[in-house]
Amino acid sequence: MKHRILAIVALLCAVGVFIAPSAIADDLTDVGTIAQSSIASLPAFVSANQKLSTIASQMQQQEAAQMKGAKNDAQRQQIQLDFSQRFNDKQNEILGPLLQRVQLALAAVSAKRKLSVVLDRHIVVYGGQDITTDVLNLVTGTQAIPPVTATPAPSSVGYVDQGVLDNGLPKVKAANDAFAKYAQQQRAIFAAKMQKATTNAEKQQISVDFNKVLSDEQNKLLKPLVSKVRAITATVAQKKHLLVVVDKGDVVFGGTDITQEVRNGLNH
Amino acid sequence: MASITRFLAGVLLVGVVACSHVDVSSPNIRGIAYVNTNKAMKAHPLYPQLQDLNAAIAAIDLSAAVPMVPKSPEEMKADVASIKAQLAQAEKQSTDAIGALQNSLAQDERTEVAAALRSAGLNAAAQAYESAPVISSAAQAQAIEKSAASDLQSYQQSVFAQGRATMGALEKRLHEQAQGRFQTRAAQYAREESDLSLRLSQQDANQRLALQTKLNNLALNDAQRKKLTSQLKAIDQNEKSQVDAMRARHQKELQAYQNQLQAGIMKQIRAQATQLQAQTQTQLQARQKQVSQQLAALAGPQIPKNLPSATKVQLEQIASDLQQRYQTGLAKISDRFNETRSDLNAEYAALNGVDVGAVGAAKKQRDKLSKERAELYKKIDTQIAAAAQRIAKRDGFSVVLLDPIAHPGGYDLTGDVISSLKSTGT
Repeated sequence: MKHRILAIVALLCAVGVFIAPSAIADDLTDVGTIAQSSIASLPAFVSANQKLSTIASQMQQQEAAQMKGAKNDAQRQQIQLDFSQRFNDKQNEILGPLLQRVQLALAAVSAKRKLSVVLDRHIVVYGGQDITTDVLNLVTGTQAIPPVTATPAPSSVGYVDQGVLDNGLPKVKAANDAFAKYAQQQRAIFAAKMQKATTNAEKQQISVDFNKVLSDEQNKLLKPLVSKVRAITATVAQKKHLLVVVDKGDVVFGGTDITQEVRNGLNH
Repeated sequence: MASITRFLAGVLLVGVVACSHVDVSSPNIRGIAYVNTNKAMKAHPLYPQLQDLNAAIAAIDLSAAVPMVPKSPEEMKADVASIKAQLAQAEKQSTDAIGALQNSLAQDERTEVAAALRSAGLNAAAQAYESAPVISSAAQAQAIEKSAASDLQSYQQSVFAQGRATMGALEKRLHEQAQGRFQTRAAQYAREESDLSLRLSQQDANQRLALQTKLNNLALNDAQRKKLTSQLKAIDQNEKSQVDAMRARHQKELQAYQNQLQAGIMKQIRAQATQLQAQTQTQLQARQKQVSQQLAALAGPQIPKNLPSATKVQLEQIASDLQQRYQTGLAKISDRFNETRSDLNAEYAALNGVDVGAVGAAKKQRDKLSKERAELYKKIDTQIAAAAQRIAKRDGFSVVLLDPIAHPGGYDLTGDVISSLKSTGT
C-alpha cells in the first residue's frame, strides 16, 4: 500500500515535469525589443533635432524680447502659451513625418513577426525578438511603408503612463511638492552644518544624515502613495490577465494600456 | 522487494526535485521573469563601495550649497596673493621634478650603458664610462651649457660694445676735424668777401660822394635828381653784384669741400670698421673655441667606437627606452602642473564671482568620484544582467525584464540573481 502511494505521487510529479509546460500554457514569444537610441541616432533624426534646437533657441530670444514688453502676468502667460504652441507645431511639422514612418515600420515588422508588444531594449535583459535592424532597414529605405490594417494582438504585457499618474493626481502632486520643499529646507540646514565640519569623517557623516533625513521623509510622504499605485496597478493587471506592467516610456509599440483603469482605481 | 522500493524512491526523488523547480511555462509565468535591480544592487558585494561614493559626492554637493559670504577687499587681495604663490610654487615644483627626473635618468643611463658594455666584454670601457669625472646629471650639464652660452653671449656683447665705442669715438673725432677745416675755409671766404666789399666801396667813394653832393643841390629838377639817384643805385648794384658773385662761388666751393671732407671721413671709417671687424672676429672665434673646449671636456664619458653590432643595437634600445621614460615622466609632471593650474584658475574664477559650484580641488574631486561611481555602477549593473541572462538561459525563460512597475505574473528572478552574485562574485 505504502509503495503504491509513493509510486503514484512520483509518477504524477514525473509526468508533470515532462508534459506540463506544453499542456498548461505557451511561453510568451510575442515580445519584441528595439534599441530606441539607434533610431534617435539616424541622420534624419539627428538633423531634425539640430534644426529644432536652432528654432528653440531663436524662439527663446523672441519670447524674451516680447516678455520685456509684457505689462502683467496675464500677458506674460499668454506669450508663454503662444510660444509653446508655436514650438509644438514646429516639432510636429519637422519630427512628425519621421515619427510616423517609424511607427509604420514598427507596425509592419511587428505584424510580420507576430509581436503583441515592442519594448525598449534597456529594460529587456534577456530574450525577446530584437527587431532593431529590421525597423532601421525599413525606416531608412526609400520605399513607402504600407500601413498595417490589423491591430496588434492583445498583449500580456501592460503599461501605465506614470507621468499622467504623478501629475494628474492631486495627492501625488501635493506629496511631490511637499517633499521638494522639505528637501530644499534640509539642504540649507545641512549645508550650514557642513560649513562647520572640519574633517572628512564629519563631512561624510553629515552627508549620510542628510540622505537619511530625506529618505525618511520620502518614505513618509511618497512611499504609501507609491505602494498604493503599485497595488492598484497589480489588481488591474490581474483582472486583465496581464503578467507584468511596465512604464509607458519603455513601450515602443503595442502592449496593453491600463493607465485609465489605474487612475480610476486611485480616485476611488 | 527492496529493489522496487529503491526504484520508487528514485522516481519520487526525481519527481519531487522536478516539482520544486520553477515551472517557467505555468500559466502565471509563461516564460517571463523579472529582476528588481535596486534590490539586486543593494545585495551586491560591491554595494557598500557604491554607497561610500554616493556619500562622498553628496558631501561635496552639500559643501558647495553653502552660501558664500562676500569677501572684503583685503581678504580678496590675500586670496589672490595666495593663489599666485601657489602657482609659483607649483611651477618651481615642476622645474625641480624635471631636474630630479633628468638626474635619475642620467644615473640609469650610466648604469645601463656600462652593463651593456660589460656584457660585450668591454670591461675597461664600462669602468671608464662609469668612473669618468663627468657631470652628474643632465640638469647640471644643461646648467653648465647654459652658463657657457651665457658667458659667450656676454663676451660677444662686450666685444661688440667695445667695437661700437671705438667706432663712435673715431667718427666723432673725424667729424670734429672736418668741421674745423670747413669752418676755417668758410671764415677765409667770409674775409675775402668783406675785403672785396670794402675795396669796391673805396674805389667808388669819390664818385659816390660827387653824386651825393650834386643831389644836395636844391635847384635840381626832378629829371636831374632822378638821373643822379639812378647813378648812385647803379654803383651800389655793381658793388653788390661783384660781392654776390664771389659769395656764390665760395658757397659752391664750400659745398664741394664739405663733400670732399665727408667722403674722406667715410673712407677712414670704413677702413677702420673693416679692421675692427677682423679683430672682433678673431677675438670671438678664440673665445668660442675656448668655450667649446670647456664643454667638450664636460660632455661626459665617451662610448668606444667600433662596437659589436649587437651592443650598438642594445645601446640604441637603452637610448630609446630612456627617451621614452623621459617623455612619460615629463608628461606626468606636466599633467600634475596643469591640474594644479586648472584648480587655481577655478579658485580665482570663484573669487571673482563666477558661479562654478564646487570649485578647485573640490570640483576635481567630485568629477573623479562621479567617474568612479559611474564605472562601479556599470560594473554592478553588468554583473546583474549577466547573472540574470545565465539563470534565464539555464531555466528556459523566454524573456527577462528589469524593474516592472507591477508583476501579477511572471517569475521573480531577483533572489536567484542575488544568490548567484554572492556565490560567484559575478
